[in-house]
Amino acid sequence: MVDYIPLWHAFLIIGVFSYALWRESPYFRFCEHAFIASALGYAVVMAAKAIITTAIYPLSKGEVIYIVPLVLGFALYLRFGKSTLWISRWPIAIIVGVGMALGMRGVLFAYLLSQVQATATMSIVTKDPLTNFNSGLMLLTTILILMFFIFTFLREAIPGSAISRARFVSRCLIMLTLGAFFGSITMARLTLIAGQIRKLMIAFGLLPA
Amino acid sequence: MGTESKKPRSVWERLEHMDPRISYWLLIFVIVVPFLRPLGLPISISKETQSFYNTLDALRPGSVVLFDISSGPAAYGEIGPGSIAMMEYVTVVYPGRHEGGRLRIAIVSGGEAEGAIMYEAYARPRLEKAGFQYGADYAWFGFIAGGETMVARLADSIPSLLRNDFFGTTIDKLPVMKGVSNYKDVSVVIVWDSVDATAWYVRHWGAKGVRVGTVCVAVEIPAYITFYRSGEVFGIIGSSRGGAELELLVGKPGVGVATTDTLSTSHLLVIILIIVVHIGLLARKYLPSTGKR
Repeated sequence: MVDYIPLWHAFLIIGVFSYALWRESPYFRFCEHAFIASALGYAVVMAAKAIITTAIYPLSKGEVIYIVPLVLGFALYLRFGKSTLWISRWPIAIIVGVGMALGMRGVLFAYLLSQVQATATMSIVTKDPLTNFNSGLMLLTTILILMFFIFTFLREAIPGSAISRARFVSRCLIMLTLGAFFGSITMARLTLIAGQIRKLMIAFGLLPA
Repeated sequence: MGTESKKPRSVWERLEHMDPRISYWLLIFVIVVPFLRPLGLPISISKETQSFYNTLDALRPGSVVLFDISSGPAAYGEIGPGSIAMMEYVTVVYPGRHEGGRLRIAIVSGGEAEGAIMYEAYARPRLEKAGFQYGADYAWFGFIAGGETMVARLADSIPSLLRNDFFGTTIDKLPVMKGVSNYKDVSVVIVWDSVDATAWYVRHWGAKGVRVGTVCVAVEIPAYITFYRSGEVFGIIGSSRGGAELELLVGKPGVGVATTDTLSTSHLLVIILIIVVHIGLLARKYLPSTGKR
Protein backbone atom coordinates (compact mmCIF):
# COMPACT_ATOMS: atom_id res chain seq x y z
CA MET A 1 0.00 0.00 0.00
CA VAL A 2 1.34 3.44 -0.95
CA ASP A 3 2.05 5.76 1.98
CA TYR A 4 0.57 9.06 0.88
CA ILE A 5 1.63 11.06 3.95
CA PRO A 6 5.19 11.90 2.70
CA LEU A 7 3.71 12.94 -0.64
CA TRP A 8 1.18 15.16 1.12
CA HIS A 9 4.11 16.64 3.13
CA ALA A 10 6.00 17.25 -0.11
CA PHE A 11 2.99 18.89 -1.75
CA LEU A 12 2.61 21.36 1.14
CA ILE A 13 6.35 22.02 1.58
CA ILE A 14 6.84 22.79 -2.12
CA GLY A 15 3.77 25.04 -1.97
CA VAL A 16 5.20 27.08 0.89
CA PHE A 17 8.70 27.20 -0.63
CA SER A 18 7.22 28.36 -3.94
CA TYR A 19 6.69 31.81 -2.44
CA ALA A 20 10.43 32.36 -1.91
CA LEU A 21 11.69 30.39 -4.87
CA TRP A 22 9.18 31.58 -7.46
CA ARG A 23 6.39 33.99 -6.48
CA GLU A 24 3.06 34.16 -4.72
CA SER A 25 0.53 31.92 -6.41
CA PRO A 26 -2.83 30.22 -5.74
CA TYR A 27 -0.84 27.09 -4.90
CA PHE A 28 1.08 28.96 -2.17
CA ARG A 29 -2.10 30.57 -0.87
CA PHE A 30 -3.85 27.22 -0.66
CA CYS A 31 -0.98 25.81 1.44
CA GLU A 32 -0.88 28.92 3.61
CA HIS A 33 -4.62 28.82 4.28
CA ALA A 34 -4.56 25.07 4.89
CA PHE A 35 -1.85 25.60 7.50
CA ILE A 36 -3.69 28.40 9.29
CA ALA A 37 -7.00 26.54 9.20
CA SER A 38 -5.60 23.29 10.57
CA ALA A 39 -3.60 25.09 13.28
CA LEU A 40 -6.66 27.07 14.38
CA GLY A 41 -8.91 24.03 14.33
CA TYR A 42 -6.46 22.11 16.45
CA ALA A 43 -6.06 25.02 18.90
CA VAL A 44 -9.83 25.33 19.36
CA VAL A 45 -10.22 21.61 20.09
CA MET A 46 -7.31 21.59 22.56
CA ALA A 47 -8.57 24.72 24.31
CA ALA A 48 -12.05 23.20 24.67
CA LYS A 49 -10.54 19.98 26.04
CA ALA A 50 -8.42 21.97 28.51
CA ILE A 51 -11.50 23.81 29.80
CA ILE A 52 -13.44 20.56 30.17
CA THR A 53 -10.57 18.79 31.97
CA THR A 54 -9.48 21.58 34.28
CA ALA A 55 -12.77 23.27 35.13
CA ILE A 56 -15.97 21.60 33.94
CA TYR A 57 -15.02 18.08 35.06
CA PRO A 58 -14.18 19.09 38.66
CA LEU A 59 -17.29 21.29 38.71
CA SER A 60 -19.42 18.32 37.73
CA LYS A 61 -17.90 16.44 40.68
CA GLY A 62 -19.20 19.09 43.05
CA GLU A 63 -16.19 21.38 43.36
CA VAL A 64 -18.12 24.61 42.99
CA ILE A 65 -15.03 26.82 43.35
CA TYR A 66 -14.29 26.10 39.68
CA ILE A 67 -17.24 28.24 38.72
CA VAL A 68 -15.03 31.28 39.46
CA PRO A 69 -12.51 30.75 36.63
CA LEU A 70 -15.34 29.80 34.28
CA VAL A 71 -17.20 33.03 35.03
CA LEU A 72 -13.98 35.05 34.73
CA GLY A 73 -13.20 33.34 31.43
CA PHE A 74 -16.67 34.11 30.11
CA ALA A 75 -16.29 37.72 31.29
CA LEU A 76 -13.40 38.16 28.86
CA TYR A 77 -15.91 37.97 26.00
CA LEU A 78 -17.96 40.84 27.44
CA ARG A 79 -15.45 43.25 25.94
CA PHE A 80 -17.33 42.95 22.64
CA GLY A 81 -20.26 44.91 24.11
CA LYS A 82 -19.80 48.63 24.80
CA SER A 83 -21.92 48.59 27.96
CA THR A 84 -20.22 45.46 29.36
CA LEU A 85 -16.65 46.30 28.37
CA TRP A 86 -15.73 47.31 31.92
CA ILE A 87 -16.50 43.82 33.25
CA SER A 88 -13.86 42.26 30.98
CA ARG A 89 -11.18 44.36 32.70
CA TRP A 90 -11.53 42.34 35.90
CA PRO A 91 -10.32 38.99 34.53
CA ILE A 92 -7.56 40.80 32.62
CA ALA A 93 -6.48 42.51 35.85
CA ILE A 94 -6.40 39.16 37.64
CA ILE A 95 -4.37 37.55 34.83
CA VAL A 96 -1.86 40.41 34.83
CA GLY A 97 -1.68 40.49 38.63
CA VAL A 98 -1.10 36.75 38.99
CA GLY A 99 1.42 36.81 36.15
CA MET A 100 3.34 39.68 37.72
CA ALA A 101 3.36 38.05 41.15
CA LEU A 102 4.56 34.71 39.78
CA GLY A 103 7.14 36.40 37.62
CA MET A 104 8.52 38.45 40.51
CA ARG A 105 8.77 35.39 42.73
CA GLY A 106 10.63 33.35 40.15
CA VAL A 107 12.70 36.08 38.54
CA LEU A 108 14.30 37.10 41.83
CA PHE A 109 15.73 33.63 42.23
CA ALA A 110 16.47 32.62 38.64
CA TYR A 111 17.68 35.88 37.16
CA LEU A 112 19.12 37.72 40.15
CA LEU A 113 20.17 35.65 43.14
CA SER A 114 21.44 32.60 41.24
CA GLN A 115 23.25 34.64 38.62
CA VAL A 116 24.89 36.90 41.20
CA GLN A 117 25.86 33.87 43.26
CA ALA A 118 27.26 32.03 40.23
CA THR A 119 29.30 35.06 39.17
CA ALA A 120 30.55 35.76 42.68
CA THR A 121 31.65 32.18 43.31
CA MET A 122 33.12 31.64 39.86
CA SER A 123 36.69 30.43 39.88
CA ILE A 124 38.99 32.09 37.37
CA VAL A 125 42.03 30.02 38.27
CA THR A 126 41.62 26.44 37.09
CA LYS A 127 43.78 23.96 35.20
CA ASP A 128 41.93 24.58 31.95
CA PRO A 129 43.16 27.83 30.30
CA LEU A 130 40.01 28.11 28.16
CA THR A 131 37.81 27.93 31.26
CA ASN A 132 39.95 30.60 32.90
CA PHE A 133 39.64 32.83 29.85
CA ASN A 134 35.87 32.32 29.65
CA SER A 135 35.40 32.99 33.37
CA GLY A 136 37.57 36.11 33.25
CA LEU A 137 35.72 37.37 30.19
CA MET A 138 32.39 36.74 31.87
CA LEU A 139 33.44 38.63 34.98
CA LEU A 140 34.75 41.55 32.94
CA THR A 141 31.62 41.59 30.77
CA THR A 142 29.39 41.60 33.85
CA ILE A 143 31.20 44.59 35.34
CA LEU A 144 31.37 46.53 32.06
CA ILE A 145 27.73 45.99 31.16
CA LEU A 146 26.61 46.93 34.66
CA MET A 147 28.67 50.07 34.20
CA PHE A 148 26.91 50.79 30.90
CA PHE A 149 23.51 50.75 32.56
CA ILE A 150 24.41 53.14 35.36
CA PHE A 151 22.85 56.32 34.07
CA THR A 152 23.18 58.55 37.11
CA PHE A 153 26.72 59.84 37.07
CA LEU A 154 28.54 57.86 34.38
CA ARG A 155 26.38 59.16 31.55
CA GLU A 156 28.15 62.49 31.54
CA ALA A 157 31.64 60.96 31.42
CA ILE A 158 34.26 63.16 29.78
CA PRO A 159 35.05 61.98 26.22
CA GLY A 160 38.36 60.13 26.14
CA SER A 161 38.28 59.34 29.88
CA ALA A 162 38.63 55.78 31.20
CA ILE A 163 34.91 55.60 31.98
CA SER A 164 34.02 56.75 28.50
CA ARG A 165 36.28 54.11 26.95
CA ALA A 166 34.88 51.42 29.21
CA ARG A 167 31.37 52.38 28.14
CA PHE A 168 32.45 52.04 24.50
CA VAL A 169 33.82 48.54 25.18
CA SER A 170 30.62 47.58 27.02
CA ARG A 171 28.56 48.80 24.06
CA CYS A 172 30.63 46.52 21.81
CA LEU A 173 30.02 43.62 24.20
CA ILE A 174 26.27 44.23 24.10
CA MET A 175 26.44 44.24 20.30
CA LEU A 176 28.36 40.95 20.39
CA THR A 177 25.67 39.45 22.63
CA LEU A 178 22.93 40.58 20.27
CA GLY A 179 25.02 39.16 17.42
CA ALA A 180 25.07 35.81 19.21
CA PHE A 181 21.26 35.94 19.42
CA PHE A 182 21.08 36.78 15.72
CA GLY A 183 23.41 33.87 14.95
CA SER A 184 21.17 31.54 16.94
CA ILE A 185 18.12 32.72 15.02
CA THR A 186 19.95 32.16 11.72
CA MET A 187 20.87 28.66 12.85
CA ALA A 188 17.27 27.98 13.87
CA ARG A 189 15.88 29.04 10.50
CA LEU A 190 18.50 27.11 8.54
CA THR A 191 17.81 24.00 10.61
CA LEU A 192 14.11 24.30 9.87
CA ILE A 193 14.77 24.65 6.13
CA ALA A 194 17.18 21.68 6.20
CA GLY A 195 14.54 19.60 8.02
CA GLN A 196 11.89 20.35 5.40
CA ILE A 197 14.27 19.70 2.50
CA ARG A 198 15.17 16.37 4.08
CA LYS A 199 11.47 15.49 4.21
CA LEU A 200 11.15 16.41 0.53
CA MET A 201 14.11 14.23 -0.37
CA ILE A 202 12.63 11.32 1.58
CA ALA A 203 9.29 11.80 -0.19
CA PHE A 204 11.00 11.65 -3.59
CA GLY A 205 13.09 8.63 -2.62
CA LEU A 206 16.41 10.49 -2.63
CA LEU A 207 17.06 9.66 1.04
CA PRO A 208 16.02 6.65 3.14
CA ALA A 209 13.17 7.35 5.58
CA MET B 1 11.29 40.91 -7.33
CA GLY B 2 14.50 42.11 -8.80
CA THR B 3 13.03 44.62 -11.24
CA GLU B 4 14.62 48.05 -11.07
CA SER B 5 13.90 51.07 -13.22
CA LYS B 6 17.60 52.05 -13.45
CA LYS B 7 20.19 49.64 -14.74
CA PRO B 8 22.90 48.95 -12.13
CA ARG B 9 26.31 50.32 -13.09
CA SER B 10 28.96 48.33 -11.24
CA VAL B 11 29.33 44.69 -10.28
CA TRP B 12 28.68 45.67 -6.65
CA GLU B 13 25.48 47.42 -7.55
CA ARG B 14 24.41 44.40 -9.54
CA LEU B 15 25.10 42.24 -6.49
CA GLU B 16 23.15 44.62 -4.30
CA HIS B 17 20.19 44.39 -6.64
CA MET B 18 20.49 40.64 -7.07
CA ASP B 19 17.19 38.80 -7.21
CA PRO B 20 16.78 37.32 -3.69
CA ARG B 21 15.41 34.15 -5.28
CA ILE B 22 18.94 33.34 -6.48
CA SER B 23 20.21 33.23 -2.88
CA TYR B 24 17.29 30.97 -1.88
CA TRP B 25 18.07 28.56 -4.75
CA LEU B 26 21.75 28.62 -3.72
CA LEU B 27 20.70 27.84 -0.16
CA ILE B 28 18.66 24.85 -1.32
CA PHE B 29 21.63 23.65 -3.36
CA VAL B 30 24.11 23.82 -0.46
CA ILE B 31 21.63 21.95 1.75
CA VAL B 32 20.79 19.22 -0.76
CA VAL B 33 24.38 18.36 -1.73
CA PRO B 34 25.60 17.36 1.79
CA PHE B 35 22.47 15.25 2.26
CA LEU B 36 23.37 13.32 -0.91
CA ARG B 37 27.12 13.26 -0.28
CA PRO B 38 27.81 13.70 3.48
CA LEU B 39 31.01 15.59 4.24
CA GLY B 40 31.56 13.73 7.51
CA LEU B 41 32.80 16.78 9.41
CA PRO B 42 33.81 15.95 12.99
CA ILE B 43 31.27 16.65 15.76
CA SER B 44 32.66 17.43 19.20
CA ILE B 45 30.52 16.84 22.29
CA SER B 46 29.80 20.04 24.20
CA LYS B 47 29.82 20.25 28.01
CA GLU B 48 26.10 21.01 28.05
CA THR B 49 25.23 17.83 26.14
CA GLN B 50 27.64 15.69 28.15
CA SER B 51 26.19 17.04 31.38
CA PHE B 52 22.65 16.28 30.17
CA TYR B 53 23.63 12.70 29.45
CA ASN B 54 25.61 12.24 32.69
CA THR B 55 22.83 13.63 34.88
CA LEU B 56 20.22 11.29 33.41
CA ASP B 57 22.64 8.41 33.62
CA ALA B 58 23.26 9.07 37.31
CA LEU B 59 19.55 8.77 38.20
CA ARG B 60 18.59 5.65 40.09
CA PRO B 61 16.06 3.30 38.48
CA GLY B 62 12.57 4.21 39.63
CA SER B 63 13.36 7.93 39.77
CA VAL B 64 10.48 10.11 38.66
CA VAL B 65 11.10 12.27 35.61
CA LEU B 66 8.62 15.01 34.77
CA PHE B 67 8.73 15.39 31.06
CA ASP B 68 7.16 18.51 29.55
CA ILE B 69 6.59 18.60 25.80
CA SER B 70 6.35 22.32 25.15
CA SER B 71 7.03 22.27 21.46
CA GLY B 72 5.04 21.48 18.36
CA PRO B 73 5.72 20.06 14.92
CA ALA B 74 6.79 23.50 13.64
CA ALA B 75 9.94 23.19 15.75
CA TYR B 76 10.54 19.57 14.83
CA GLY B 77 13.48 20.37 12.57
CA GLU B 78 15.31 21.65 15.61
CA ILE B 79 13.84 19.67 18.49
CA GLY B 80 13.43 16.42 16.59
CA PRO B 81 16.97 15.01 16.62
CA GLY B 82 17.48 15.74 20.32
CA SER B 83 14.05 14.46 21.31
CA ILE B 84 14.45 11.21 19.37
CA ALA B 85 17.94 10.67 20.84
CA MET B 86 16.61 11.41 24.32
CA MET B 87 13.78 8.90 23.92
CA GLU B 88 16.31 6.37 22.63
CA TYR B 89 18.40 6.96 25.74
CA VAL B 90 15.45 6.71 28.16
CA THR B 91 13.88 3.65 26.57
CA VAL B 92 16.90 1.61 25.43
CA VAL B 93 20.27 2.88 26.71
CA TYR B 94 19.26 3.67 30.31
CA PRO B 95 17.68 0.25 31.02
CA GLY B 96 20.68 -1.38 29.35
CA ARG B 97 23.10 0.43 31.63
CA HIS B 98 21.04 -0.11 34.80
CA GLU B 99 20.29 -3.83 34.65
CA GLY B 100 16.88 -3.33 33.09
CA GLY B 101 15.80 -0.66 35.59
CA ARG B 102 13.58 2.04 34.21
CA LEU B 103 12.80 5.64 34.97
CA ARG B 104 9.21 6.55 35.87
CA ILE B 105 7.98 9.14 33.40
CA ALA B 106 5.11 11.59 33.81
CA ILE B 107 4.48 13.46 30.57
CA VAL B 108 2.60 16.75 30.29
CA SER B 109 2.37 19.46 27.72
CA GLY B 110 2.55 22.77 29.53
CA GLY B 111 3.59 25.38 27.03
CA GLU B 112 2.28 24.24 23.70
CA ALA B 113 -1.07 22.62 22.89
CA GLU B 114 0.60 20.97 19.90
CA GLY B 115 2.78 19.01 22.31
CA ALA B 116 0.17 16.27 22.01
CA ILE B 117 1.20 15.77 18.37
CA MET B 118 4.85 15.45 19.39
CA TYR B 119 3.87 12.96 22.09
CA GLU B 120 1.91 10.82 19.64
CA ALA B 121 4.59 11.02 16.94
CA TYR B 122 7.84 10.72 18.86
CA ALA B 123 7.36 9.76 22.52
CA ARG B 124 4.59 7.14 22.69
CA PRO B 125 5.75 4.93 19.78
CA ARG B 126 9.26 4.66 21.25
CA LEU B 127 7.99 3.96 24.75
CA GLU B 128 5.67 1.24 23.46
CA LYS B 129 8.32 -0.25 21.20
CA ALA B 130 10.69 -0.55 24.17
CA GLY B 131 8.03 -2.37 26.19
CA PHE B 132 7.20 0.44 28.61
CA GLN B 133 3.80 -0.20 30.19
CA TYR B 134 1.32 2.66 30.15
CA GLY B 135 0.31 3.51 33.71
CA ALA B 136 3.13 1.49 35.27
CA ASP B 137 6.16 3.06 33.56
CA TYR B 138 4.74 6.23 32.08
CA ALA B 139 1.61 8.35 31.96
CA TRP B 140 0.41 11.04 29.60
CA PHE B 141 -1.56 13.97 30.97
CA GLY B 142 -2.02 15.98 27.77
CA PHE B 143 -2.01 19.73 27.43
CA ILE B 144 -2.54 21.58 30.69
CA ALA B 145 -3.44 25.22 30.15
CA GLY B 146 -2.01 28.03 32.23
CA GLY B 147 1.61 28.32 31.17
CA GLU B 148 3.82 29.57 33.97
CA THR B 149 0.91 29.58 36.45
CA MET B 150 0.40 25.89 35.76
CA VAL B 151 4.11 25.15 36.23
CA ALA B 152 4.15 26.98 39.58
CA ARG B 153 1.04 25.16 40.77
CA LEU B 154 2.42 21.82 39.63
CA ALA B 155 5.48 22.30 41.84
CA ASP B 156 3.29 22.74 44.93
CA SER B 157 0.74 20.02 44.29
CA ILE B 158 0.86 17.60 41.40
CA PRO B 159 -2.37 15.63 42.15
CA SER B 160 -4.43 18.82 42.44
CA LEU B 161 -3.60 19.70 38.85
CA LEU B 162 -3.04 16.31 37.24
CA ARG B 163 -6.22 14.72 38.55
CA ASN B 164 -6.68 12.46 35.55
CA ASP B 165 -4.47 11.37 32.72
CA PHE B 166 -5.36 12.22 29.12
CA PHE B 167 -7.73 9.25 28.93
CA GLY B 168 -9.63 10.07 32.09
CA THR B 169 -7.97 7.60 34.48
CA THR B 170 -7.62 9.16 37.91
CA ILE B 171 -4.05 9.70 39.13
CA ASP B 172 -4.45 7.32 42.11
CA LYS B 173 -5.02 4.46 39.65
CA LEU B 174 -1.72 5.09 37.86
CA PRO B 175 1.10 3.13 39.57
CA VAL B 176 3.72 5.36 37.95
CA MET B 177 2.38 8.32 39.94
CA LYS B 178 2.29 6.48 43.27
CA GLY B 179 3.82 8.64 45.99
CA VAL B 180 4.25 11.62 43.68
CA SER B 181 2.67 14.61 45.35
CA ASN B 182 4.89 17.61 44.67
CA TYR B 183 8.31 18.77 43.44
CA LYS B 184 10.08 16.83 46.22
CA ASP B 185 9.10 13.54 44.60
CA VAL B 186 10.44 14.44 41.17
CA SER B 187 14.13 13.83 40.43
CA VAL B 188 14.50 15.90 37.28
CA VAL B 189 12.40 17.86 34.84
CA ILE B 190 13.09 17.63 31.12
CA VAL B 191 11.51 20.10 28.73
CA TRP B 192 11.26 19.87 24.95
CA ASP B 193 11.08 23.55 24.57
CA SER B 194 10.28 26.07 21.87
CA VAL B 195 8.26 28.52 24.00
CA ASP B 196 10.53 29.50 26.92
CA ALA B 197 8.99 26.83 29.17
CA THR B 198 12.41 25.86 30.56
CA ALA B 199 12.63 29.30 32.17
CA TRP B 200 9.25 28.68 33.89
CA TYR B 201 10.58 25.47 35.41
CA VAL B 202 13.84 27.15 36.42
CA ARG B 203 11.86 29.87 38.17
CA HIS B 204 9.44 27.59 40.03
CA TRP B 205 11.11 24.17 40.25
CA GLY B 206 14.78 25.09 40.04
CA ALA B 207 14.29 27.55 42.89
CA LYS B 208 13.17 24.58 45.01
CA GLY B 209 16.17 22.47 44.09
CA VAL B 210 14.78 20.35 41.25
CA ARG B 211 17.22 20.02 38.37
CA VAL B 212 15.95 21.04 34.95
CA GLY B 213 17.22 19.85 31.57
CA THR B 214 16.16 21.11 28.19
CA VAL B 215 15.97 20.07 24.57
CA CYS B 216 15.50 23.49 23.05
CA VAL B 217 15.52 25.51 19.84
CA ALA B 218 18.62 27.48 18.89
CA VAL B 219 17.08 30.86 19.71
CA GLU B 220 16.82 29.86 23.37
CA ILE B 221 20.41 28.66 23.78
CA PRO B 222 22.01 32.05 24.64
CA ALA B 223 19.40 32.59 27.37
CA TYR B 224 19.69 29.09 28.83
CA ILE B 225 23.49 29.05 28.79
CA THR B 226 23.39 31.50 31.69
CA PHE B 227 21.14 29.06 33.60
CA TYR B 228 23.55 26.25 32.79
CA ARG B 229 26.55 28.19 34.07
CA SER B 230 24.77 29.04 37.29
CA GLY B 231 23.76 25.39 37.77
CA GLU B 232 20.03 25.99 37.39
CA VAL B 233 19.91 23.89 34.21
CA PHE B 234 21.80 20.59 34.23
CA GLY B 235 22.10 20.18 30.48
CA ILE B 236 21.12 21.69 27.17
CA ILE B 237 20.46 19.83 23.96
CA GLY B 238 20.48 22.85 21.69
CA SER B 239 18.83 22.54 18.29
CA SER B 240 19.82 19.84 15.82
CA ARG B 241 23.52 20.30 16.61
CA GLY B 242 22.91 19.33 20.25
CA GLY B 243 20.72 16.51 18.98
CA ALA B 244 23.60 15.25 16.84
CA GLU B 245 25.87 15.25 19.89
CA LEU B 246 23.34 13.30 21.95
CA GLU B 247 22.87 10.85 19.08
CA LEU B 248 26.62 10.18 19.17
CA LEU B 249 26.59 9.76 22.97
CA VAL B 250 23.65 7.40 22.75
CA GLY B 251 25.43 5.51 19.96
CA LYS B 252 22.72 5.88 17.35
CA PRO B 253 23.58 8.54 14.73
CA GLY B 254 20.45 9.77 13.02
CA VAL B 255 18.78 12.88 11.66
CA GLY B 256 20.92 15.23 13.78
CA VAL B 257 24.24 13.92 12.49
CA ALA B 258 22.89 13.95 8.92
CA THR B 259 21.74 17.56 9.30
CA THR B 260 24.97 18.88 10.82
CA ASP B 261 26.85 18.91 7.50
CA THR B 262 24.04 20.87 5.86
CA LEU B 263 24.14 23.38 8.72
CA SER B 264 27.85 23.92 8.11
CA THR B 265 27.45 24.47 4.36
CA SER B 266 24.38 26.68 4.70
CA HIS B 267 26.08 28.83 7.36
CA LEU B 268 29.09 29.11 5.08
CA LEU B 269 26.83 30.41 2.30
CA VAL B 270 25.21 32.94 4.65
CA ILE B 271 28.66 34.14 5.79
CA ILE B 272 29.87 34.44 2.17
CA LEU B 273 26.75 36.44 1.24
CA ILE B 274 27.25 38.75 4.24
CA ILE B 275 30.92 39.30 3.31
CA VAL B 276 30.12 39.95 -0.35
CA VAL B 277 27.42 42.47 0.53
CA HIS B 278 29.74 44.28 2.95
CA ILE B 279 32.58 44.39 0.45
CA GLY B 280 30.12 45.90 -2.01
CA LEU B 281 28.98 48.42 0.58
CA LEU B 282 32.55 49.46 1.38
CA ALA B 283 33.51 49.56 -2.30
CA ARG B 284 30.57 51.83 -3.08
CA LYS B 285 31.50 54.05 -0.16
CA TYR B 286 35.23 54.41 -0.80
CA LEU B 287 35.67 53.82 -4.54
CA PRO B 288 34.06 56.67 -6.53
CA SER B 289 34.14 54.69 -9.76
CA THR B 290 31.77 52.10 -8.30
CA GLY B 291 28.94 54.57 -8.07
CA LYS B 292 28.91 56.16 -4.62
CA ARG B 293 25.52 57.64 -3.83
